[in-house]
Amino acid sequence: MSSPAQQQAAVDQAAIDQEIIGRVLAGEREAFSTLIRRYSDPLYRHALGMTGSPDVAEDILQSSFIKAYEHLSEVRGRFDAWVFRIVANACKDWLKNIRRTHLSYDEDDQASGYATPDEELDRSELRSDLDRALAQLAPSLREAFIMKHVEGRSYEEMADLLGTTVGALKMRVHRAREALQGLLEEKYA
Amino acid sequence: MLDDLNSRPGNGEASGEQWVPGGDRTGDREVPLSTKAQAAVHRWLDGETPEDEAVLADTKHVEMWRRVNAETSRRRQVMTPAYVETRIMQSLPAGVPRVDDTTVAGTSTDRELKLSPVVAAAAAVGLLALGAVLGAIFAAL
Repeated sequence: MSSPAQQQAAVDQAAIDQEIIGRVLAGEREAFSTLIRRYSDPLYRHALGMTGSPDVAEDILQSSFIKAYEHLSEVRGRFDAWVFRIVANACKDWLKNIRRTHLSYDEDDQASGYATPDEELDRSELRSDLDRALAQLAPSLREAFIMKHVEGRSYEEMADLLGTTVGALKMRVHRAREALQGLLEEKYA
Repeated sequence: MLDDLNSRPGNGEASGEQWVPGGDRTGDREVPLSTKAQAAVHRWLDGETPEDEAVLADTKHVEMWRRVNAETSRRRQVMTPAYVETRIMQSLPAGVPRVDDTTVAGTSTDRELKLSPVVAAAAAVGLLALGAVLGAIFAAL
């Protein structure tokens, strides 16, 4: 459960977002960039986790923010939850249409924290194997695993964003872990 | 909060999640039932118990999950490429966002239908006339 301080911070943030939305609707177009900067990282990570492709994740982020801009007057409640649902739906639509089976972070140029070439090689192998295993999960299980393990969200936060129950999400995450464990244990356990 | 780690379809599942046999790709594969060891690993991964407890229950899988966690933690640091914000801002449609009630992200599209009494009466007369004409045509056939 989130603490009272965290809840208050979320309320304050929502009020600031509403103020920014008001400015954009009044014609101050540049104010929209504040919303992009504030929320793009978690949304990008979600899209990247779901699609496995940096290019696709960027495209989804771009089309989602454009959609959010076009429909900005319809925001009721928290902007971050509203825009998350746009991105999450876009990811699921992409998975439905493309049916990719191979995920890759090959274009990822993030700095490595591994010290030796051997460690780097091990990490690279695990990265590929994890991507392949994630690609075999049903979208709903992949989504739950990504939100819990990659985005580091609490079950309560996930339930809030996805409009479902904590119990249902725990079950999805547990099923995802068990499926991943089945796929990875031969090599890594 | 304690998990019901033995929850499975048909086993008193209280989460409301509907399980469909073969309804997804993982459903087609054999997924081992949760054991006590697996439950201990889930509790550790959910942050409910310390790692020591999970290690005692299932050392080899804890080691595997440590490595997976290191990789997922790394992915948590990924940032949006800097040029994306500029690209989005340049792609925004010109002008102020429109104010309407069309749908987005699963919101409702209910529109209120407003009719003045005169328009409603005219529509009723029109429908009656249409009915009479159609009735006459069918009677002639």
